[in-house]
Amino acid sequence: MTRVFVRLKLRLLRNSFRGAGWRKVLAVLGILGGLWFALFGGMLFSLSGVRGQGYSVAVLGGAGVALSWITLPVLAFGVDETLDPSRFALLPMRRSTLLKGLLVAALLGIPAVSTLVATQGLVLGAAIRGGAAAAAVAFLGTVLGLLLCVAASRATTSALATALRSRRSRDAAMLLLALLAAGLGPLQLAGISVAQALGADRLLAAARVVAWTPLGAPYAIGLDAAAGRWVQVALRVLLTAATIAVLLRWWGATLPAAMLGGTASAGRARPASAAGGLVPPPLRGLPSGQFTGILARELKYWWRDPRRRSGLVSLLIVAIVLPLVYGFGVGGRMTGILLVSGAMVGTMLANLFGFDGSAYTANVLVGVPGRVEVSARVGAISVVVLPPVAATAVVTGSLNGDGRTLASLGVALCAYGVSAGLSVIISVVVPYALPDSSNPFAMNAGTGGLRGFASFGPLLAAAALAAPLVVLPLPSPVTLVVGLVVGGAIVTAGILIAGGRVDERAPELLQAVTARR
Amino acid sequence: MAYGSLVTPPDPALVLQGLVKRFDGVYAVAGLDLEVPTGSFYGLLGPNGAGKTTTLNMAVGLLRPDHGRAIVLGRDVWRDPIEVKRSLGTLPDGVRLFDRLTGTELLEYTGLLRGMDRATIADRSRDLLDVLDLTGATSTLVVDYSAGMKKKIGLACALLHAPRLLVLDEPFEAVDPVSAALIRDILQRYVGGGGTVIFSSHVMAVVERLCTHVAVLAQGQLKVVGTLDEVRGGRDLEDVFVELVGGRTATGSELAWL
Repeated sequence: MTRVFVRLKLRLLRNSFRGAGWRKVLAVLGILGGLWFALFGGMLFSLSGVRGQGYSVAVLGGAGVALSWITLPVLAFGVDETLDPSRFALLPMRRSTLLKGLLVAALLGIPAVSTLVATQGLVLGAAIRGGAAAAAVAFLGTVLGLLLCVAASRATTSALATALRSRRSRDAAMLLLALLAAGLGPLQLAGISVAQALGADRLLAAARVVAWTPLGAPYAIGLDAAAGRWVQVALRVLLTAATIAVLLRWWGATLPAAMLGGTASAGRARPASAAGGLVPPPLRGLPSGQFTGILARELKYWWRDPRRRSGLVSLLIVAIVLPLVYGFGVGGRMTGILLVSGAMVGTMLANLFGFDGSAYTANVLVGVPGRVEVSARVGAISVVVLPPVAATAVVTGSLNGDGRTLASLGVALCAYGVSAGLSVIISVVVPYALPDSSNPFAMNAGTGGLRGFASFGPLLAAAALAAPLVVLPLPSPVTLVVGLVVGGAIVTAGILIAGGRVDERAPELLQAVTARR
Repeated sequence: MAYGSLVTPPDPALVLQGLVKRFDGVYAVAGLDLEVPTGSFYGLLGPNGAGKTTTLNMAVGLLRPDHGRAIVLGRDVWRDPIEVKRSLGTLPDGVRLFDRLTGTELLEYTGLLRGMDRATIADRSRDLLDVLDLTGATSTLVVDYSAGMKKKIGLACALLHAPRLLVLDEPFEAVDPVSAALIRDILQRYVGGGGTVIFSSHVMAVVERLCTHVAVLAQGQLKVVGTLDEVRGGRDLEDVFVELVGGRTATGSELAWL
């Protein structure tokens, strides 16, 4: 039976090379990435052959790999759902058979293979230090380590997916994950500085402790064997094997729930908070019509659609925290950082229609004029993001204490305007569909990359156009006015160009943002 | 305002001329001509993958045809889209609604897009929600609706501006018998009042009960067009349909092991 799973997985991997061109490109990129990780990681791990810090490299590096296996699927990449347990729900199959099959299938992916190759550096290191016997033990360690990684990652995601069955908890989880992802950058900086502060001796002490945890144990045994500590080798192998067994049991226990599929009913339906209708009271003064309708709906959507909300919240946090952190910590010319934060927020507009997906049909059916369509959408996001961005600019500007508060505001708004204007054009020229999935962990492999690519242009353009405002010694109010004029002009141009494009190609735009399958 | 009146013009409500659409080199619709008379209740029948949705999407301006024209009430859909869309009410199949809105909010949104004033929107929404038995769900997000309720709120959106031509893609799919009867009722009243309906389906019973005219589509081409009685020719519609689309009936010798 396991052979059937292996063949199925290999067939699915091969099929990822078929279909549209960009999917092939992504598949090749995935393989290249895996290859890079395998070679680079292998080189790093072979440093374990060096006396002194070798032990820390092996144990802490290995534990880092294991930790990534557990956290990354949850935080960033999503689970490889090529073999989704729910697909097997109807087949009369014992749970142990299914578990074995899924485990073997998971071992056949690019991540698993490249991890195994990378950790072979440990075998090399052990061979240098202790000869063939130590190398054999190290190899056993890498295999056990890989099994542990795969079992742990599958068990955690499976358990979480089960816990996140209802729409409400899923929505909440997406927000939480977005916050975590936004916090990763600062955390990384903190981690590096802690490591620097600790020094080599402390690292070795830490490695000794970690080597007794299941995360580090399998990667320590090669060097233990080289040093002749056979009792420790045996104990660590036992510890690892026992952990794998427990994890597999846990995974097996969550499987029946995971097999029920991800789209079970959302529990009790929730009454929406605002019963006052679509258009909120502050907007009631606007003339009733298409602009008001789209503006009001977009405002509701930026809060109610978890995908939009998590993107918005994490971007806003970075855009607000970054200038403040630099303002307090680094000092100096903060207007540059405000430029980055304004430009970043503007890129939120780079896939305006992709968030709607096939729901955009409603607007195409009516034939909303492109300029109304685009300007209402830009208006909605500006209403949401401009107050916090402007407030941040004013606060950091006045913290700076050089009397250039207005200039700071000008730079931030200019950067936002330029970036927003270009982003709306991108959103109609290269629109892309977001996956139409209910699983918060299932993400399109390509979306992240495409999104980064799509938002890079506006960032650069905003930097180019707003940088003179940072550098030139204009009087502060003049900088504000120039910033408003430049930013406003580019946004207006963006709306006109994007609007014209929508008028011409609304049906094609709809096709592009409609998720396939 | 263009909404609100149901005057019967002399033109046919919908004319499709030589429509062609290819996806990746495969013909989804291969040269289709169809005339839907004003005041008719038109059923577009076809097996799965016959090109029903593609045809209807091209007729309402959601999908640009490779060749051919679609003319609604005398106006070309692709030359004069805004005017055409004003007199069209559409229920597309397989697309999401703006489902993070509540039922009432969705109707208000649709009304605002249609350029209607708030009072009219509020009145008509209340009527529609009442008739379609959705009053209990006015403050529930559409994403939490059942499949049948989503169909009904979609239909309400299509009806809100009192269009003269209704284009409905699979309006009876996933709808329970009680709601189906309700929708049948509403549509019959609408046609009785001078409106025109074209809808796709593969449920023969519904088509036989409702339609004045029937067209059978298979592999992107029309197999037969005419009034219900012409197409039936005194036989059962299902038999005619299966024969036309080239299906076969079981002889009893297959699946003997079952």
